[in-house]
Amino acid sequence: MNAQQLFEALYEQHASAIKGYALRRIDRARADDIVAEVFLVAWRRLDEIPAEPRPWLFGVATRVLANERRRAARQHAALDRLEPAVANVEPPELPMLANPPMGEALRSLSDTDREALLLTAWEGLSHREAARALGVREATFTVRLHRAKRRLGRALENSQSATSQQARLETP
Amino acid sequence: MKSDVTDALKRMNPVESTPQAAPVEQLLLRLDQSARAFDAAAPVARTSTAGHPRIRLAAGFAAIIAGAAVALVTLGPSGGGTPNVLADVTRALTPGSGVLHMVQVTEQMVAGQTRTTRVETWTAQNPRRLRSIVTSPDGKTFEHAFTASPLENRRWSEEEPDVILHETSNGPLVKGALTHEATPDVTLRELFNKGQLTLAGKTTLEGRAVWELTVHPANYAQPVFEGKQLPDPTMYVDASTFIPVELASESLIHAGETVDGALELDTETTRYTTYEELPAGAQSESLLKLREHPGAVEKNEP
Repeated sequence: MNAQQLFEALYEQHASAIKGYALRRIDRARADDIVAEVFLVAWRRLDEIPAEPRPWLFGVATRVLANERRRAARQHAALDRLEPAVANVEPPELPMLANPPMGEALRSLSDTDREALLLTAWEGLSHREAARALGVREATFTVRLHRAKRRLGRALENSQSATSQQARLETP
Repeated sequence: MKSDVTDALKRMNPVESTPQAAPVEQLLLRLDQSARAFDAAAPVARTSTAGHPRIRLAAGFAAIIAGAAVALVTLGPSGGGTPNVLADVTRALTPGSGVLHMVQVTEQMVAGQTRTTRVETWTAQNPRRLRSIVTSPDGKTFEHAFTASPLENRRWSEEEPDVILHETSNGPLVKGALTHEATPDVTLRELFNKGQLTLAGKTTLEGRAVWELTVHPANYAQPVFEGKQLPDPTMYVDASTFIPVELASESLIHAGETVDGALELDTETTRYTTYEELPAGAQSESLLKLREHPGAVEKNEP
């Protein structure tokens, strides 16, 4: 199998999962760009891709997305100087969720906590895979995930409490 | 509560089905435009098995499993009078009926930063039991106890001093701590029983007489970093007792946040500061159980 065939096989097998990852975190318009960027990196690093490429690809996707967010944040900051009304919109970190308190709770977490939760809950990665994707040891990841769950639980309680309080206030 | 949060999160998955990715041809066109022709631009070594150094190392070890004992045979008679160090090490590492107490301290140096992790374990066989205390580089401790019969896991962490989780299965939450299949003693036994080691000679390490063994699985070559091939990992065992003293290795890891996944040199030294078999009995057995943590509440987590 030559390099192109290898690359095509890699793409066929994993591109959809990476697109899903992107769609869960960024708007549809940019999701395909994220996938393309991830696989461009994969192409450049073809000789370094492990026998189990999935965690490696998610790791690259995490960095590509972080870079995209930084770029978007810089763009918003630049807009802020020009036109504050436009720039007050935060760069999206997650698409709108059907459950607003959950979305709010997720957004209140640190990037590392959120990724630990979402790589396992949404992307279906095992602890071992997610640890590799994030470049940490499995034990470290497990502790991080456990902590993230606890923090999400607390944030969710706070968020739900705030929502119900708001609803009570708005009830005539 | 925790599983509720996870379940709720799963239900909130905004993209439940696997989306269709753009056809690969679009990307190939982009590649073609930017790099022109795969064969001209591709890296030299391209195989699906050429992987991350760490993973390749692990895979290399795993590949040796089928040929276990070969290394023992090949090392044994070689050198006419050379002691069969590997066989002696294997004997030293074979667990007895007592409780094996180990302490390993790993110093990991990446990008000029050193991180130290301490792992202390007590392990016993038939049924398999273990307790481990891991102290992470930030000084936090994590304790875990496992018994295969009855199948139970208990853990406690400094992060959650008020909670002890009790699982009736070897669930994923506990698995990450230190699995009973991958405690330091098991890893070492596999390394010696199934790995391909070469006796490099006798030397001294901080004044201690040791045997030096080079770890070099078949079909594996250390990666090249900054134009030089990294040396094979080296294991040192005590010259008279044959118990492990130190394992030194260099590898490459993705340590930074760079978009293209640049690799950093990772130098690790694991020192086995304690390796002793405690006699079987109630006193040793008590060391296999989770310590008392005042105020902690035991909770079941399925």
